[in-house]
Amino acid sequence: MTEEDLTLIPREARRYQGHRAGLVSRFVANTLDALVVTVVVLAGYVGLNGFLFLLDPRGFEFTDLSVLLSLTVMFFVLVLYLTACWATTGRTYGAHVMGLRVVSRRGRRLGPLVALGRAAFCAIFPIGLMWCAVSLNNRSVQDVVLRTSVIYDWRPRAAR
Amino acid sequence: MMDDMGTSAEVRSISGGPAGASEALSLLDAAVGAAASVVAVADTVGRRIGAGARPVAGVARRVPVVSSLHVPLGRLSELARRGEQRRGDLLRTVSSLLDSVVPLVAEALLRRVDLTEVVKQHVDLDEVVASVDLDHAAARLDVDAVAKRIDLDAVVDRLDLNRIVRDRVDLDGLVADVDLDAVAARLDLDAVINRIDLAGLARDVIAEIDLPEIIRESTGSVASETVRGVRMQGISADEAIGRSVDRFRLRHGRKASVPGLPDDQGSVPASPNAGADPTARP
Repeated sequence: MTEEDLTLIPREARRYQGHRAGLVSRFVANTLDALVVTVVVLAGYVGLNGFLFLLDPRGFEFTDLSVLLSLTVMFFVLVLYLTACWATTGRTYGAHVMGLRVVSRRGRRLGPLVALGRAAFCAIFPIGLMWCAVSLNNRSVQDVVLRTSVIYDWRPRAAR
Repeated sequence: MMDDMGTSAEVRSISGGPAGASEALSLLDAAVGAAASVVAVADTVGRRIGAGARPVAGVARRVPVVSSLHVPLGRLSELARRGEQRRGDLLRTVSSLLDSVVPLVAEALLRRVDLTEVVKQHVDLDEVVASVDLDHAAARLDVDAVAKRIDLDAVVDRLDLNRIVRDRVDLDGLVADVDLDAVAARLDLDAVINRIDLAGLARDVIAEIDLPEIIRESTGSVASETVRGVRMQGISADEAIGRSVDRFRLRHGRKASVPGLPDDQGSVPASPNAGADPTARP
């Protein structure tokens, strides 16, 4: 991160840039991401029912999805969403709102496989986030296993 | 004899030529000779006539037929007239003689005397100058004519005007007295602007600073004050949680920075140390 990059960041936040984020910021970001995924899934559900309504308006009834199916859909949507975001910009919408970015151990953008593994790990074991509260390095379980970091980075673009 | 030859030669050189000099000299000699002869003859004749006629004259003066007053007055008047005529002739002769002799004598004197040295030794020039009314003399000078004869360009070339202005002119004071607002009011800024290629200049500036990229980054970096507040509150909450857990676990600090990104002071490492473990947290 160069001095020129820091000029675009508020003065009071500059000293935090590049440091690993704590539990609260990451929890808020994950909550927002969960809301995003929920909205996406609901939108998909509404879209699917709308499509079915168009096919058979008279016999239309809302599709009754089981909890398992719903969770499965949400799981895949979440993994897909996280993988795409982390492999491209390094940040999800929640991370964008909170000024966070997921980077590799070298401080760079994650590769697709690492992003996919981390997304799956986070979706399967979200409670691993809590480890950053007690970790010396503010690292979650996923960060420890995959050697990634979630840092404060208010810059609009990720480091390559 | 040699003095006579030298004098004759000087006379010739002064009077303009041998003919003039010899003529003047001949006249001088003739006059002196005639005068001497006349004086000698008159003296001799006078003495002899006086001695013989003195008794006759005494008798004649006692004759009552001849007026004692008439005879001497007529003779005296005649003598006076003739004497006046002779005196006039003599004055003219002497004047003519002086006209010829004085220049010769003066020239000879000036040749033998260093007049400059004499003036230096015997004349108090300071006193002479002090007695001169220089102001009056200067008032009579035609200064304009004198100034016209001066080559002012040559004089100015010898002057270091920059040094003179720098040392002796209060430029700050002069500038302070200048009404810059009035000067600016007289400027034709439109003409100046018309001479500038503003469109080209703007294109160069935009190309140099990559304005579109700045706008893009500015609009995407911090969306609003609300987002900034949320982020800062999140950071504060993170620190509060960290401090609480540290106190609970009796730890003194955390390591939270990442290679390639700023350290605690916001500085950027020159070359990120790959694989190095972060060392501090904000």
